[in-house]
Amino acid sequence: MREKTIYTLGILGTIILVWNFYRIFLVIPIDALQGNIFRIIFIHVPAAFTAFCFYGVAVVGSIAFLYRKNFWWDSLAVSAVEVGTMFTLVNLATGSIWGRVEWGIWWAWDARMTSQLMCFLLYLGYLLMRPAIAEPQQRGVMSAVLAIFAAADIPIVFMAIRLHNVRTQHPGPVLETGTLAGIYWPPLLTDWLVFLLLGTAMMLVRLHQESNRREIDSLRRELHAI
Amino acid sequence: MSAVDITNLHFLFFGYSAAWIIMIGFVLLLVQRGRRIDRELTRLKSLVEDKEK
Repeated sequence: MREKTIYTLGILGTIILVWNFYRIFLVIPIDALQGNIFRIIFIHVPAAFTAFCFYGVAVVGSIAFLYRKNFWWDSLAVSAVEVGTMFTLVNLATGSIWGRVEWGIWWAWDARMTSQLMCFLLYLGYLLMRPAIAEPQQRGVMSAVLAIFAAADIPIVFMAIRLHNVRTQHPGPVLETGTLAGIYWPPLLTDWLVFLLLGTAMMLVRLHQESNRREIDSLRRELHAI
Repeated sequence: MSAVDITNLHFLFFGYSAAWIIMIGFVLLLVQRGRRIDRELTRLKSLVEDKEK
């Protein structure tokens, strides 16, 4: 059942992706101001949305673990964080390339970009910290606390371009202000859906690996006891 | 097509390539780790069985 779900999500995501690529590259007209590079928005923005969704799952998993002390929730949190971190890296890389064309620089230490980099580093720290703690209960509790703490950065990323007293190199909000033309919305949302499908498939694979890892830990303990 | 348009296209290609390299790299990492975990699990199971005999 699990494998079937993973394959279904993966295949469905890929089919929708190919169809969406057709729309992005062959149907949508070139942007009058930015030219072809504007099409990078269809990866850059959905990658950030997807990352935040998975960080949300990680927060839910972390809170549930702290409350119930069931390791399945800890596995869910770490799986979601790993996928979310990967999508954050996609967002940062595509943003940097876009910035190189539009601003002539690869990186600007402005509020939006720095807070997003902080988000990436916080969750990378979460992933690097886990193997350093041998005791599973302690590892779960510390990871859960860090995942919740790191999520506090997400509203900062969101608000970085919305606060009036913060100047950023990054453009202001375009999605909710009506600045983004209606024709761009369907491919943008479709790519978000694709990333969610593919990301969920990856998270399920990772979740299974975590359950196998727990079995390895218990077998090791059993071996020591014999 | 102007030189600016060509540069634009180059960077668009780099952007999409970077995204898919990161995603495919992550999937490969998952597959590799999955195989390592499966191998370790099989090894430990047979070790436990041997010890119990």
